[in-house]
Amino acid sequence: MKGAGFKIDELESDLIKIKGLEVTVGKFYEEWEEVMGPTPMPSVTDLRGWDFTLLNRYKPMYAPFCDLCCLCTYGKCDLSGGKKGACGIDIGAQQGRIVLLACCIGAAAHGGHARHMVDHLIKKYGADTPIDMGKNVEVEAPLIRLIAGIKPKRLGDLLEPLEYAEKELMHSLSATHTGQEGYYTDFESKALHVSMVDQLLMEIADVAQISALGFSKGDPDSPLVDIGFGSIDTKKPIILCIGHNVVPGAAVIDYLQDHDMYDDVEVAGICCTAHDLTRYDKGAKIVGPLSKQLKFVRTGIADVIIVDEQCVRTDILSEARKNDTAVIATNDKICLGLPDRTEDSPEDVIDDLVKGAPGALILDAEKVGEVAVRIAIKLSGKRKRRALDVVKEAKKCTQCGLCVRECHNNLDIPKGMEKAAKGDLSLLSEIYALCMGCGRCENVCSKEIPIVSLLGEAAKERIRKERYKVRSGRGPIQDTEIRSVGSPIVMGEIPGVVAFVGCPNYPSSSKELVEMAEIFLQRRYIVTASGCAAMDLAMYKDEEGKTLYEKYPGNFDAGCLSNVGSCVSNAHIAGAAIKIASIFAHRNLRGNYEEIADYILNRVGAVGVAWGAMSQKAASIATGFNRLGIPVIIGPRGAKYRRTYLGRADKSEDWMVYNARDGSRTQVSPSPGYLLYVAESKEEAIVSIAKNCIRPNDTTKGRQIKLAHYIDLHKRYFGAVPEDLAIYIRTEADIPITLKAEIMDILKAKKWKPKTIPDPTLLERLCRKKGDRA
Amino acid sequence: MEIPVEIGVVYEGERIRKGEMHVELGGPKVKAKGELVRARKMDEIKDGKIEVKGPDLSEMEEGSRHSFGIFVEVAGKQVEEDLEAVIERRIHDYCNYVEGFMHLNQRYDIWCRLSKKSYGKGFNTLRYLGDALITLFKAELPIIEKIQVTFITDEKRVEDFVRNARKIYEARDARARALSEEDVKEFYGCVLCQSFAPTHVCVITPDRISLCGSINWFDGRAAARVDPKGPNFAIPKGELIDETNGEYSGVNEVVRERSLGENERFYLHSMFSSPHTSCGCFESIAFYIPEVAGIGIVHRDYSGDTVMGVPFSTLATQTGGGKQIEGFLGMAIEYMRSPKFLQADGGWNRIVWLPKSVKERVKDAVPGELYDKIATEDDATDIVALKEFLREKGHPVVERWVEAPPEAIEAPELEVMPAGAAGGIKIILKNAKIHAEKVIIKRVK
Amino acid sequence: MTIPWFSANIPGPKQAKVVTPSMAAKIMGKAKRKMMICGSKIDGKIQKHIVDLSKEMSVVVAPSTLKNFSGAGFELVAKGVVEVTNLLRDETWKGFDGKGNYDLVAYLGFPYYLESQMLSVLKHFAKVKTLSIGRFYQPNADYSFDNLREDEWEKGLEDLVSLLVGRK
Repeated sequence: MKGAGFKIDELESDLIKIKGLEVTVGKFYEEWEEVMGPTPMPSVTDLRGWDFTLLNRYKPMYAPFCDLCCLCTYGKCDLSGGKKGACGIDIGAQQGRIVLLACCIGAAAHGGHARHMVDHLIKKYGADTPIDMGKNVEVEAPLIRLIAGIKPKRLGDLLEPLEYAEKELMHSLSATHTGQEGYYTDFESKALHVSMVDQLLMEIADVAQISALGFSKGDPDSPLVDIGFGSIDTKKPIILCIGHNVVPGAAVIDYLQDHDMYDDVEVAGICCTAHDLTRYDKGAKIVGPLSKQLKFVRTGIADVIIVDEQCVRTDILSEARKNDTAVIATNDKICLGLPDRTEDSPEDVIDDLVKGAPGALILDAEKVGEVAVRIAIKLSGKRKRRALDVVKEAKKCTQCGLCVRECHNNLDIPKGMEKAAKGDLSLLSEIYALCMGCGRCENVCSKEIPIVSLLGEAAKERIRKERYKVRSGRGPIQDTEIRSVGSPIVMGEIPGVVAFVGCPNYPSSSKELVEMAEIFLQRRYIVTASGCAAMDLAMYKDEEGKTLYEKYPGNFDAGCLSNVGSCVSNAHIAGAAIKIASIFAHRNLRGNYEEIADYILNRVGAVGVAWGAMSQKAASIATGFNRLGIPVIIGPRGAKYRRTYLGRADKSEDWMVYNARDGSRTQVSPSPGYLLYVAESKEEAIVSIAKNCIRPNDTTKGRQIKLAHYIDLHKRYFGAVPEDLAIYIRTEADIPITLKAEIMDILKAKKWKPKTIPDPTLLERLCRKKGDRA
Repeated sequence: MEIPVEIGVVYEGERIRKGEMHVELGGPKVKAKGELVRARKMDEIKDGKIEVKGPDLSEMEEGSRHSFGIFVEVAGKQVEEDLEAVIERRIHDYCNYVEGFMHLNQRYDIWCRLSKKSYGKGFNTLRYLGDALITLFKAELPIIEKIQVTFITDEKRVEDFVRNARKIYEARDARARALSEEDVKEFYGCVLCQSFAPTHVCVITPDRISLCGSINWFDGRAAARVDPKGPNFAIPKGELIDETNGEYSGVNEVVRERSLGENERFYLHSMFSSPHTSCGCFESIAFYIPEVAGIGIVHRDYSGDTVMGVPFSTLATQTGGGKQIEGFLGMAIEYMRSPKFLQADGGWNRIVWLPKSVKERVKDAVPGELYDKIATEDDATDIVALKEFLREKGHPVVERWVEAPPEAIEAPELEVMPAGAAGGIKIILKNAKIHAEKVIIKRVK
Repeated sequence: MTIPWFSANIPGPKQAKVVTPSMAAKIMGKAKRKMMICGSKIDGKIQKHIVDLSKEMSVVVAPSTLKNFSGAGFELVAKGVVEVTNLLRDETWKGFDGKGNYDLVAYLGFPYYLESQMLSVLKHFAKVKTLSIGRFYQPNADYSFDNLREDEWEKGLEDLVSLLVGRK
């Protein structure tokens, strides 16, 4: 609650005489039974100690993407060969700086989104709108409690953590200025800090929209909704929303419902806005993830494109023009040079757009709703869509091969063209399925062949069949779900939690992601997903015609696949880990970040997988999970993030923990072995996921099942028993019973000795001293 | 003998659909099926012996169904009749570890399938299954020194086997029901959950199953014998300090040690004073309702509001983490069937509210005359209605309402406390500025 | 100056020296502690060369390819490239054979961009010299093959192997 105050200039009574009294109160806090922890709203340096503890074990490995610094007018400075820049920075610190910058950008994107969302919802529904995350969610906002130390009850209560986050973001970003921070570990500490703030911002945004817009409040049976090009009814006028802020799209649905036209117009989305549209109303459709953007826009199917914020192609306007699709920009982040028509009458705007104006900037969601619907109806069927003669275009190809060099996945476009020129479009159609839709190939084509459009045209049939089901984002994980998986986890029936998150910049087919998820679903891991990854998991059918979402229930439970929702819903995955500490150990969350992160690192066998991570948001999301003690595995392209956090299993001194029971030091198995790891192949990722679910606190039954899967997957994909097996076995009871004889022989050969299983912590202050025991 | 398929826990979740199955053993479409474990004397069995009575897999037609019996006999110095049920439940797990072999249910209800794929790989005799069972039993339960396995597929013989097995199940169940804390020397402790809740310890007695509902006294006994230093261990019950509360010197000692000094004593059958702690995986929670001096219970799967106006998830945050919280008790649903169920607090006579679904589930344990006097969500969703219901039905708890029943506590409103104590003194402030960094608003007690 | 195969991948003024197979063989021949790190994109043809080269140096393969090397008749280590590269930048690391860190590593068979990033790690944070013998020019290495046609490259690898292994 905000502060208050009053002033009395002069007052005289029998009892009291006052002149010029001013009473002000900084802040009101409602009493909350939970004791405030040591770091409510931590500053940039408050958790530096924890960061250094992590960085000491998981040392950053830098892979500079560029040897130069070009951020100030001293530059460019060449930092290779140990040279320093004009400001004194070395290559290591510069990498930390760039990583910090990326994390700041990511956090700012979520922060801008959260700020827009909260301000808009407060304006529309009032600051007193209750925060409501559903019946079975007692800890409504684990990250806000943990980081900000407050328990939000109304939308208005979200403003304070939001202001805090904005302040931290400013401080963190300012550290990247020339002549500020100079050492890599401190850049990293700030990156970890601002990424923690990023998690807070994601939670603020999602808690606000779940509470005010009536999204699913943790419902495991949230509806199955349509996804894929083929699910769009092209006979109707089509409005396409791209981005992450659902407000304008929701206004479109409101307008259609208010005017009883919802059955007559298709509302579809790309990227997280699409997830949130289906959370707002299950009748909305998802075209697909980010990778479908250019491909879909090029088809010219959409009559109107509404862009809000983040992950929108910056050339959307010129791309849309190719098919006379109207563009409405709706957010201060993306104005595209369009005239601001916010104050103009809808009629005028509609008139201009129908007459061929390329687009309009309208910063009023309700007006967007009306304008978009009315133009879509007017433009539908009337736009001229340019026909494309694939064979003719393909004949232009000179086989120079520049497109292959430019392509992310080096797809063999020339061969596809060669075949197409002879009338066989099959290879182009296959390439379409593997293409991540960046369009860079076209930039280098000397013959200016519209390659992406050609691929789409060649794959027409394939596109028509792109019709799948995805479970609409459910929002938070229920407290009761977490309680009910507690026992099977300690009993060794659930080996771990795997979260598939992030963008679709995959090293190969998106089908790899589906394969990975299904392996862990079949093995009864708890599998959860969000964002574009949650969409790609839906875009493959088995031989019975079912998607993963139709095959596996939406609970947070063994062998279940829960889609939490959009990017900002990632907060619920972190939230689930945090809630484990409060539910099982009754650890206080309030302002108690370090203790909870230590708890999660040592006890919660969860691994994040961002197989196609692309954006700066993905960088801050991963780094935020890292500070909380959750390892993340990224695909090979993730190497371009310039930094990994790697443990050294061969250095036993790096794996010492305190045994909280008596304060003694004990060596534990090196797991999680990494906080941020780049896996080259799907196979390497799969085995790595299983291995990184191991935690020092595992019960022997828990360790048995984790090892059973690690060994089995290692054998299956690498063809051998893992070399490092012995370091994960603490006592004979850790050995999976089906492999006992085999493993005992290995242990004997390695002169293995049993180790104690501690109550693990990296924080000395959490130990009971010897003699503490009664 | 080299088994032609893989054995591993990774096959546990494997389901074999009709189209993929080579044969079905047991299951809903055959009458006779069952499995049984018996403890034998050391000289009564031959270690490693596997027998198939009736047609073996290779003699069965593809797609056919057969009667099926699995009979496992075990012996060892520490193997006793009381452990039979625990050992028997492992058959299910082990069968499922076999690639391409599915096992559902237990006792006289088993349902198994062998996949075409595994049959194709050469899994053509039940001897392979017997071999897997023997290896796994010995690997996990080294107390088993000798083991022999008999498979029966001949319908007539399975019928005889199951007839006999049913008698044994009944006798076993009767023993489990009759066994009480007085009859045994040892209880068992469980600290599996210490991996998440470092100071919580579960005390398991014949009258008190673990609060997650997964480990009963027999399970604890078996586990403690296999690995006495493991997470399940024997608790010598020591002296009975207080019969009603269920307080034992041995239990207190172990609690003190295993809770790392956090807790000193446990009352096994009371939710007041020194209640048993919990981690977070309790199946249900008992909560005291001061307004009616009674106890309500709600289980995890009930998603509606309790009579307190809040759901399970809210009440559940009151306890857990190995902390003793008076008036809140995490417990297994099965504990409601215990003859000692909350006996110090009045047992069933004190229970005033529970969700309908649980009430039905434990109907057999509720004293007949009380059944209709205990409210469910259909009868009361707030305290006022509950009070009315209890009075109307003449619930025994009403007798506790001396004079007028205690008033329901209204939701307290937030108020800034008046500063007070200024009477009579004249205060003069000139150009004063008072600033408080923050003001904490406290509830009026 | 050779243009990197992916043309935007220009790290800065310090870029790899383009080497021919015979120069590469010389560089390798001179090195005292050398190792080859192989990626996931190894097919049968290249595998044959790796097996030959293993006579001259330690070999690390991508774990996903380990199966294909079973029975190849030489000792190899299977490790993710990120992990191996991380070890290489530690001067005190004792190597896979306990005899100390390496003075030359050759990379082969990786996605272009991943190899580029791993070479960048070593370029800036390790003493070890790097050699890329993949099909495309890798500016972040110390020495790299030029951008080659498939047949040129295959021939190049063959020459390299025969020069190096045949030398003795």
